[in-house]
Amino acid sequence: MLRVEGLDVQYGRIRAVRDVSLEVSQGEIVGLLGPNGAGKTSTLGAVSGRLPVAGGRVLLEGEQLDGRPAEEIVRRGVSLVPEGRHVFATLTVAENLAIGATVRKDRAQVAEDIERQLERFSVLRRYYRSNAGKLSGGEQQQLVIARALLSRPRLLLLDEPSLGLSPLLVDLVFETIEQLRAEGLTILLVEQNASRTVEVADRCYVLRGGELVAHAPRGDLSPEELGDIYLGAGER
Amino acid sequence: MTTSTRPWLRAGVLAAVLCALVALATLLGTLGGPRLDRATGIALIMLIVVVGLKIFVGDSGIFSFGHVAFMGVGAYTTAIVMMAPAQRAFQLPELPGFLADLELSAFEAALLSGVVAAVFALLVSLPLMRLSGLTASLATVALLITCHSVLQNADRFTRGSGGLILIVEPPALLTLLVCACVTIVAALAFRQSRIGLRLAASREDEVAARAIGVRVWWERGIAFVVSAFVLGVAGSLFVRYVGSINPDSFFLSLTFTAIAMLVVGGLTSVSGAVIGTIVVSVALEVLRVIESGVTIGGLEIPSRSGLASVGLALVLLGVLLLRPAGITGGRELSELVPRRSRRAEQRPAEPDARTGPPPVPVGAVEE
Repeated sequence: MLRVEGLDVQYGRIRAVRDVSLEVSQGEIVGLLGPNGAGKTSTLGAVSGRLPVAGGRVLLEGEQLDGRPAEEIVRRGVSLVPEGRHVFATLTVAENLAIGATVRKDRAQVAEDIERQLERFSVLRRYYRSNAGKLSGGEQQQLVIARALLSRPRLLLLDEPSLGLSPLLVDLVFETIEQLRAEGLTILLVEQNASRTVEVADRCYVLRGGELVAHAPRGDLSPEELGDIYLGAGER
Repeated sequence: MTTSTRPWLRAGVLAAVLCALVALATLLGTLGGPRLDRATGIALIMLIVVVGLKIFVGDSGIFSFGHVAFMGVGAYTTAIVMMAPAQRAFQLPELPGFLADLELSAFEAALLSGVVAAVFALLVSLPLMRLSGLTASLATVALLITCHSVLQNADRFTRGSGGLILIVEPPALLTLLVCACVTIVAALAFRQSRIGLRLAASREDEVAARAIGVRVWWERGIAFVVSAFVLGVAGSLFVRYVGSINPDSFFLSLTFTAIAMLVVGGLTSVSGAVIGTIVVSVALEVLRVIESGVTIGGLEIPSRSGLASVGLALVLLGVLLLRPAGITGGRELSELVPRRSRRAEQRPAEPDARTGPPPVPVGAVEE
């Protein structure tokens, strides 16, 4: 579904991502792991159109995404849940959800889909008319995932969805990711929580210093090997 | 009732309440004689200006200092197209032929003024809406100064700094009230629309808004053009009401007053725009009375020129110190009234010392 070929991302003269190639197939969960500054978020930024592609190509089912603005990429079926939650704080939960669906043309289905997300994330129903800024961190994370899902993406990009959450809420986030896979959604997951990611992902790519240093299917990466990769001791 | 119809119902109720509030204020304004009648008329026009300004500033989060220029464009358009041919030949002898023979009705002139202002805003928005934050605000200052200079120097169309006189039947207070109410309804409808929602999202968090497909420059551009239309119509009503205009009528003083009204009420809500306009208009009128010299309970306050402006600045400072987000806190009246009871219902109860904490529902875990 998604093919990234020889991706380069630059911030001025600093190259944050070098020659990264990866693939995500239909219905897969693919993890993108690596320590801080590895280039994970920059890779997602380039795929989602938030950052310009300095080199290489990004293709979604053969269609070129690089060079297109972020909003058009969303319309083509790629939704990003950015790191740090980013709810629209002074708008209500209801408005946050409604905005997520405004890119869609099938408006008749929106109310039904909002209802489905409220069933999935029951806490959002309770605070439906409250301002999103009043929700706790975990509730906000559920809201931004629900909001992204309301655009009916073909590919969901999740950037550090468990960052800063308590262990109980991390469980909830990963349960949700499993549930979305069961529904057939394709997910590219950027995480620092490597042990949880290798459990849930079909395949994982590991980045370090902006370069791809490992690629392995589920079960091929042990926690020890991951530790080595993070620390720079081993490469595959 | 579905989740999608309820916001529109709430907006409808809010519109009715705000229109009733404006009608009541207008009624009170008519009880004090001709001087107060005139102040009420100006206040109603300012209400249209401030609500129009809110459509862009409140929902986009970009402070515009240039919107009064659109009011000026609307006012000059109406002055030119409504003027009697004899007056036109006297005031604007060099006007191009196709304009020299025009004599439109008040409604046609108002509509044309709105359209001309909107088209002008569309042209300006092409470069301007690519900018954000302070840069965009500074660009609107440039717009205001440029328009002022053009109005001063385009003698052929504006008669320069001498200005234009328009002798027509001024709009009745009822007409102004209806126009103000239509503007309130339009602003609330815009906020509830897909474009309004998306624009508010971009105001809150531009990164997240783009990540869910909001074309920020596009939504801002639409709001800019819509609010320019409203200000163009306000300009049309203004010139008919006051009868004479010059480039200074649409410069710093009016800009400051309109922004003060919006800030005092609360930038991000139509309720704020309405309440801010009423409060500042009343304060200005009281200050003008004091400025011209009064005796209160034996205490004689001599005439002091400029007192009204200083007083307005003090009102603004006071509100900013006590309520930085304005009287309404940037919220609509409908959000302010039932909020407490709703929160009490929705938030989990505080832990009780005797019974311990309440059971935590799945998915509602606090960090």
